[in-house]
Amino acid sequence: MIEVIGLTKIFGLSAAVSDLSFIVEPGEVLGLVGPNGAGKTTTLRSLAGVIPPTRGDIRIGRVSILTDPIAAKRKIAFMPDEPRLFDYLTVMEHLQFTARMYGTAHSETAARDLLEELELTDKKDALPSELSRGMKQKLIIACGLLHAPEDLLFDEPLTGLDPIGIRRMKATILQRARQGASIVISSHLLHLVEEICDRILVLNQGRKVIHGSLEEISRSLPELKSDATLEEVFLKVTGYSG
Amino acid sequence: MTTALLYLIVCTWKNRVLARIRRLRQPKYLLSALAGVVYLYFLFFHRLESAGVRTPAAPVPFSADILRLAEWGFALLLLGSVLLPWVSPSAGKAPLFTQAEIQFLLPAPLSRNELLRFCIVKRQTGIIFGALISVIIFGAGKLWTHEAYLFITLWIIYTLLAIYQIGVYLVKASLADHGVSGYKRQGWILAVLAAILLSTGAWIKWFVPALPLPPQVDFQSLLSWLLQIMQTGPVYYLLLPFRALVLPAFAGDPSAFLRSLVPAFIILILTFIWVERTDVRFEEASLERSERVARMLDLSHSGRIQPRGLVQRKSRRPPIQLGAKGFPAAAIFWKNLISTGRFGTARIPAILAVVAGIAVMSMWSQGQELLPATLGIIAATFAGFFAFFGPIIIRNDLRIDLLHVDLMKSYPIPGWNLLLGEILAPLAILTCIEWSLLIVAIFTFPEMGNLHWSTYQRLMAASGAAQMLPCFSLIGILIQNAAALLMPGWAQLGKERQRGIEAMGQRLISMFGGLLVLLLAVIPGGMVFLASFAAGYWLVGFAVLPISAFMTCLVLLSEAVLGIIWLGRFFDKFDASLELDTLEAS
Repeated sequence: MIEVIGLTKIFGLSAAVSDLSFIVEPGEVLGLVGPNGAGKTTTLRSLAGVIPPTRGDIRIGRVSILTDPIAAKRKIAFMPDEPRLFDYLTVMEHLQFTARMYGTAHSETAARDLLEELELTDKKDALPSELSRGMKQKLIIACGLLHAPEDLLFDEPLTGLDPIGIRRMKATILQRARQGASIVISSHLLHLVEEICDRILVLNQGRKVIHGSLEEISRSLPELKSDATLEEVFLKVTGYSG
Repeated sequence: MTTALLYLIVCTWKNRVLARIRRLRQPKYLLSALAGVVYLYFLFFHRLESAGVRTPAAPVPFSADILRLAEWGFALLLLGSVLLPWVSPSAGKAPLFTQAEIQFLLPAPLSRNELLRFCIVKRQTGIIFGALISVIIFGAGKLWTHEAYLFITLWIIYTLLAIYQIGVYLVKASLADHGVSGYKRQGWILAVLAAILLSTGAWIKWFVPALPLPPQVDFQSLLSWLLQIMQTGPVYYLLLPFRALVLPAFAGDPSAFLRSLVPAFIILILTFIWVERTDVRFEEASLERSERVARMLDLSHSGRIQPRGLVQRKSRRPPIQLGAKGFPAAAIFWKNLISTGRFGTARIPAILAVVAGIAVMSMWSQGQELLPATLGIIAATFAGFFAFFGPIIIRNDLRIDLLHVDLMKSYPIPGWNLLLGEILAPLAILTCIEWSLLIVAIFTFPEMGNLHWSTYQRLMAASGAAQMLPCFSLIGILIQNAAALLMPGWAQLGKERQRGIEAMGQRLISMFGGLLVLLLAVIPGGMVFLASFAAGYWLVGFAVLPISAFMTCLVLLSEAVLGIIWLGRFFDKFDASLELDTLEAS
């Protein structure tokens, strides 16, 4: 479970995220959407313990990332939007390295299964320079999933994937949710969010604009039809009048 | 050059300065900047003010012979700088344009010469800054009559080198474009290298006068010998244009300075004309490398060829397998060692090979009895060099991994553990190099004056040095990592060195700052060494050396442990968001 309590992150004089609170229950997939600069990536980086919040608290499986960051980080996996890999480690060595960093048991079997699942088996000895953007993205995700995290944070997980890769990735995410993982996905692909997320949180200028299932959100906006798409909701709540 | 290109240069410069000023909002950068300003004031401006007070005709304390040797020495250095891009595989590969410039300027309706001038003008801020920093650092002695002469000379030399590097880049691209590629291209460079080495050998064999024998060796005879070397045989003519470039810095008065400027400017203009007439287009030069890689991958995908470089890298297995359980720092150590094995350049072996080659050639002309002594001196000198400068050269640590800060921060390990893992790989590499050199030095270091080294004394001294050198390196590596972590905006991050003259000033400041902190850090250890040596020498003689070294190492290791803990805590609290612009730009 992920609990965010009054998260605020200030850069210089401007707040990237202001007083943001939400909970992601086990087995739930939360879609984090918002226009460019809304604070989605800052929120994910704060959840992953990469950047410290200015105010507020984040609990990963009831462990505060501020007071016990190591225990909290063991439970989480963060898949950033830009797959920055170590230039000089092969695909398999990335997994071995990650396994050691997390102290993962039975990592070799898990690594092989993940490579199979993400169609990277025949690239296991390849260096990042030999991988396409999509393959790099898959490797980042494989590294993230290796230690069977309780909570998953995805920043634009489908960027660079081909149609088959997209289909498989969606299946992977949903499978982890069914196994009880709490998942947060930040994406501009609203159809993806609509398809796989149970609840949606719209951010704008660092503030929570609306939070709930698509149905709940549509109901709370009387000017929209009950079967409104996420795109219509998004345009409405972010004030687009075009 | 069009006004649009000038606008681009001015805006880039202005915004870069503004970004640096904005960074001063962070107290650590502000304090460091203030320290830098105070340092510059006392080193340079204060000196200039004093110079205004003192009599203008301050006597130059160096003899004419030393000045002439300095002229030839700098000319030789310049010759090395000119040869290096042809010999070094990495030199001369610096891109002429940034990605944004390629995207915007290459499709734009601009002539080749406009792009060339843009390339040169955009380097001017860096060149001027580099020349200024060089004057601040190297202008302090009494070698130069006036700092302004030195500054203008350096500006000419740096501009010439910048133009020359563009020329080399274009020529290399042209050679590849016209089919001299792969082995042929390597062979061509190797043939030139072989010719240089052979002619150097011939020069040493037939033109270099014999070194004065030990009883007659004194400073003046050595000086005369060196001057004689520079002014005999082909080297005199080879160095003439380079000497013409450095001469303005040594001018004694304004008229001599102006006269010496004429040949320097002629060489600068000739270099510019050479580059302008190179028959390769910038587009080809900029895209040549990426196109070649793309072609190779296409052929590889179609099964027609195996991409050689990639296959070679793949075939290298890691020296040790990493288990899933254990100390996480070991994983980082393992990763960084693999990095050295797979992507480490051959720079260090190449330097050592060149030095050894020169030593062997010198001995060939002088008589073989000097060979061991020369090797011993070189080995000992290099061991000391690597102890202090090695941490600047070997950088497979946080200076690379800070670019992966998102990933590194998300690992569930304490900061001190990560820091320890990061510093282990460069420490292990430097220790291996230092110990190897020490082993050579033990057996070959010569007798010095009245000091005769017995085998026992040599072993004692070497065992002391074997303990202390890695500890100095450890402190140096920690300082370099601390600088990267505390001020990523000022550190050189990533594998690729920032190239060009503009990066030089920043590197010089970082290097001198790092060495200054290193010297401060080793003072307590040095005091322990002196005290224990003074107390113990009369009791146990040379056997005190390893004991004193051990006590010194304890002090240095204590400092290192404290440093790792402190830096680890800093990393735990490190707010990457404040530095993300720097890290992402790197």
